[in-house]
Amino acid sequence: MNNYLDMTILEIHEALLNNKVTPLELVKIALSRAKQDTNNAFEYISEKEALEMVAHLDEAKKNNLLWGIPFVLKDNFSTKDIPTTGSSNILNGYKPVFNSEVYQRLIDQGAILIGKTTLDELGMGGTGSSGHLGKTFNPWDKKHQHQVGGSSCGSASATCSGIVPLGIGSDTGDSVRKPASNAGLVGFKPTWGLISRYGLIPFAQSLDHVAYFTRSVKDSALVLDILQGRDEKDATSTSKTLVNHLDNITSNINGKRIAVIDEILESVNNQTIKGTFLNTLDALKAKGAIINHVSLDKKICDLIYPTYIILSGAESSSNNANLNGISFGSRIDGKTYEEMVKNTRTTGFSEKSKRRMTIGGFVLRKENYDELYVKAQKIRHLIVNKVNEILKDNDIIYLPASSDIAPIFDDVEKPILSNKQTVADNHLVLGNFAGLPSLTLPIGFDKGLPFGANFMGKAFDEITVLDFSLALEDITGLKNLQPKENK
Amino acid sequence: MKKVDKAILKDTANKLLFDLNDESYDILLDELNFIVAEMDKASSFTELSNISPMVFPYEIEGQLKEDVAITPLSREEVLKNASDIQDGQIRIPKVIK
Repeated sequence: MNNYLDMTILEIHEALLNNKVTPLELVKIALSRAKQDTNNAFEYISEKEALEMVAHLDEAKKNNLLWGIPFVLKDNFSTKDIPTTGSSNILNGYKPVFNSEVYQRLIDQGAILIGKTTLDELGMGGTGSSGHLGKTFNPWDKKHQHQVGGSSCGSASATCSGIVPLGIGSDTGDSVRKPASNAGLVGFKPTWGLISRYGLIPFAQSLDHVAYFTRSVKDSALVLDILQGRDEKDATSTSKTLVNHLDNITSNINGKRIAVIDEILESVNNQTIKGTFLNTLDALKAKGAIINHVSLDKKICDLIYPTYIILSGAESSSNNANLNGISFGSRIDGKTYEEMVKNTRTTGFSEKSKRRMTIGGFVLRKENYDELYVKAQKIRHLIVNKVNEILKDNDIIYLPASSDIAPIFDDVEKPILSNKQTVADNHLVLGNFAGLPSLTLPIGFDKGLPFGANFMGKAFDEITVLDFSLALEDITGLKNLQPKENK
Repeated sequence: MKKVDKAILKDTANKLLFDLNDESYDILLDELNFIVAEMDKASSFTELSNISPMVFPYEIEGQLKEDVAITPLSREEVLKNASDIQDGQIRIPKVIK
């Protein structure tokens, strides 16, 4: 039986070059697996489009590392003439008339789109359950009790279960890096502005990043090399000179300085995670890294998540104001224009998303603007300054990606903010506040579920993040993880 | 401390042109009271009086593209996803009462 699809991108590429497998064979297996998926990973399986793409593959591009490689795309990336819903009823039936830049760069390389994947509605969530098709499950848990997390739930699930070796997502508050921890994947969010966001349905643009899942660190490096770089259609995309990461990645971390933020480490509840993390720290030290324990005032740590909710809620309430069913999307009529728009938006959005946007609307009210919204912007600036101060004397910040293994689904609607949350659950947002490169990779298992750790580096210093990640992957040997049933 | 009550939340939601169910308003009250309390605690940070609001993660400079005319979307493309079209325009209920 052909198991090339269970390999890493680099391994599949070798097999393609040596004619051990063809793109058509890979795509047929990927489509078959997609159709048999029981984790609710897909909004749309692009069977017709995938078979057309593979039939028109340009043999001259065979040396491209992503040539013939199947991938999935989170359904908040625009794909011309292919449904794009943001996992929201308000966009039912919508087919964009243009491609997002990320999608265009991938298909220009010869990569093949297998499908559009589920997400928490319009990116606003972290449980993988608020999309209009319901819960997306964690392939590591056959009982479907544990989340894979979100908002990039479908891409995480499809990459984890071996349908594809590459799942594209987006990350506004940890939406790739937390599911990566839950699913035993490499989840990479490069520096803000390094990858074009043209055609990505915006949630909160000052925090939104293109990010993605692979099953190895080197795969992550090669994907970055393809996606990075200036796009004139995204004014925030960088014009900086680019680095070739795959050619330059090394696991040599001798003399490099690692910062561990003690307040965040101490808030990890799960002792197996904490113990495993500390063991990896010892192993990184044995490879020559210098470990520095640093402090971030707990009062500041406690402000991370409320600040995020304020800023993301405000931006999303503005961004989603154009979703009214008139030019596109699913429209519900009314006697008046206002009634029509209100009917459309009341029914089209989930309660959860409406709550997030209402928080945003509340903080933007004239009487609240300075004391809540502007204050949150200042707190963000303060937090970012503190993080950059830590990185002035260190090369990387290293922490557990989460406080615990993948949570169990809770069907009771609850507030998203409470005293029960820990900073270890929310610290990955620091990478969004500061726009810094941040990568999660697996470091262990507890009760049969994987968990990960996270490296965060200086702006545009992806190579250091990748070097540390490769060193850690070599230490743990945890690479290309998939639940056994898939192999 | 900022006032948060259901009336203000309903008004906010209506301004955003949607409505929520009662359970959502209850949850929102809890969430916003929490947020307001946390933001109040932040008033003790003296550094906030000397720091500017952050809009983007870093300063963006000189990134405007050249002012070159491009071909816009055709009328057909623009109307492709609209559900109610007449005479090349999108039809909606009367706006002016």
